[in-house]
Amino acid sequence: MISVLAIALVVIASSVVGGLSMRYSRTTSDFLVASRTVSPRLNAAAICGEYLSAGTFLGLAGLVMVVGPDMLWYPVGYTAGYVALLLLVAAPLRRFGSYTIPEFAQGRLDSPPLRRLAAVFVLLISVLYLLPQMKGAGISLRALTGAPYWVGVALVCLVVGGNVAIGGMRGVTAVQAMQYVIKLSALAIAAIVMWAATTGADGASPFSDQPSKTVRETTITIRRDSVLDIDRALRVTAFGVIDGATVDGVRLLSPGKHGIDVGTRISLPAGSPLPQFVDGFVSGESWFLPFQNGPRRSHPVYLGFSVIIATVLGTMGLPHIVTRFYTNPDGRTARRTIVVVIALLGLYYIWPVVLGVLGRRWAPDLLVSGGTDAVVLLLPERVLGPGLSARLLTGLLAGGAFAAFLSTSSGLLVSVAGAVSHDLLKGGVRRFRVAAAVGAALAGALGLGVERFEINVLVGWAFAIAASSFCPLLVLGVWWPKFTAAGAASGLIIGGGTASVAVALTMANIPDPESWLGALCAQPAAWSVPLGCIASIGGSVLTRRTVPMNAPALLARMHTPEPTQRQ
Amino acid sequence: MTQSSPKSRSQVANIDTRQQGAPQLPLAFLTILRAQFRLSLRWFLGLSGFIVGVALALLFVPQLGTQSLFGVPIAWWMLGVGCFPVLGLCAHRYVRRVERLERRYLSLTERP
Repeated sequence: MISVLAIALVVIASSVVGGLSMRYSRTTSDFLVASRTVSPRLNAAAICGEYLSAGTFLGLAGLVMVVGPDMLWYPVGYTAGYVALLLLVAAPLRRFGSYTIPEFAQGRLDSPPLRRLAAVFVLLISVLYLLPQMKGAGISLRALTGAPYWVGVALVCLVVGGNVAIGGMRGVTAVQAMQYVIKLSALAIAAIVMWAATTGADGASPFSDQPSKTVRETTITIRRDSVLDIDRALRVTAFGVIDGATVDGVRLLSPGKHGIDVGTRISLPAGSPLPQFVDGFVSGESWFLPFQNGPRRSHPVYLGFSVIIATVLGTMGLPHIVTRFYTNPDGRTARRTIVVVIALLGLYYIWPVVLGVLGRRWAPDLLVSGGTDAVVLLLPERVLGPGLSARLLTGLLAGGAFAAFLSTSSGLLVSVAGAVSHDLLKGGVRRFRVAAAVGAALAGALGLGVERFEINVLVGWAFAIAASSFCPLLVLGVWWPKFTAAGAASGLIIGGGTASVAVALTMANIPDPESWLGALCAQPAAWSVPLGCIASIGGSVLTRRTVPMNAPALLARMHTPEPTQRQ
Repeated sequence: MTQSSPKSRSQVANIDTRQQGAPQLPLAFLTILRAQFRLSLRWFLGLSGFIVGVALALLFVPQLGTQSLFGVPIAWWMLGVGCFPVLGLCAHRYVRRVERLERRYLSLTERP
């Protein structure tokens, strides 16, 4: 009940602030970049509010709980991505003065078709990034209220679609700054309270070789055929198939190994070992060590380095982040904004990791039942036991989670609507509104189909495609006078295209995830980013006669500092 | 491209370059372009070196995974906590460097 109230509060607050700003949103430039009047600190909080999505609020803790320290590269990469953005493109991009990546591509390289091609990648990245937000909303509402998966998805679609269509970006700037504060305080308070409650509690450290055991009486739905290995007799309640026989109620299991079929619901008493998948371990050895093989996770070193490349170089290519950048008045404030962003991110990312570690210790059954993406929301009751304090913490986390879904989705939807209405069509506020509504509906429809993918993995794919397509375009566009439109297009198609195909193959489950091909497709950035760069440079060299005449002048505009007489 | 956008001060300060073809760039500008590129490249290589260094350390020093500090393995401290101040400091120092560079450029070009 408290959780539902918290979600309602966040949803209503977001809508009201968005709605209040409606009357100020009159021109197209108001809609897209808030007319460039946002102060650096507010802007930094808004960037963080927009950036910190379901991926880090829910998904990161879940992945840390499953895979271990290799997943800590995600937050490090997400933060280092801003350093790369700052070093390579921030101030010049702002000084160039375009609203979006497609507009930059056209303005810099003088090619309308390139703009449309870039807009296609904006759509691809934004929609792919919207899907995990939808999944997060769906599973959160289900975990909290038992509502079907689609209810949460529909809720986020309606609120975000409505907000963006009515208020545009000026609406969401204030909302998103507020949402950063909500997210940070929810995670920090929850993590500190639960960590304090568990210090001194008996039981093994999560950083040990001990196999996980249930902390309280726990009911699990087995999602793959499993084996339960017990050294003493165990009284369980089960509905399903154990050792090939149908079980419907209480059963006393003798010491030894017992096969449990997929789909069985089983209640284990406190202190019981957990069932292990037949085709791979779930818990126990080497979870806490870097670069280890995990369940369905071979080639950990390649995967680790590829994640680093995707996150560090992908941040600059995220359409909603780059757009947010133009709300700075000039290049110098753009840089300063990023420094604040990096500090705010560092403050935030420690908490999901703490929650993931707590989840490993207190909710290990989720490893078996497959609900690790919801661990953050389920943890308070596991740690504190049923009671008011657990319900209050869950409510706080639920509010924070919805703040995450709403803020990131708003930013992405602004990018989607902007790309459709301004880059693919002729522009105008009405088209922007229609595009926002259609985009929200499309993301919701696709969001219904992604429940089986881990949230943060989906987010990582959006980064990989952004790194392979827009990173070469932006970096070369900012620094290389001999860059051509044909080079940029071949970089987008070859780098971004192959990365997209690899992700699509992985989503379709075509390559065996244990094989090398599976690993290369699961995290394409390590090969697709170099490929995109080579294609961009090679294409430009081959078409060097088509270097835009005004390229040196445009570089001059991008790299000339603003006059100092400003404040 | 829609030109309804209000031009920011920085753009107004520049002549609208699009109509001008390829003008001869002043020497002072070429100098700052190169200086900024070298600065960015150097810091980016430093950033890459830092990240790759941490990754290689975790890969080749297994003690970082098994040795604990206050009950938490050192690898977790490094990635979960330690990297962030380094990244923040890197960003802060770079901004100071590049702003100093730009001030020097402006002091050369803005003098009447």
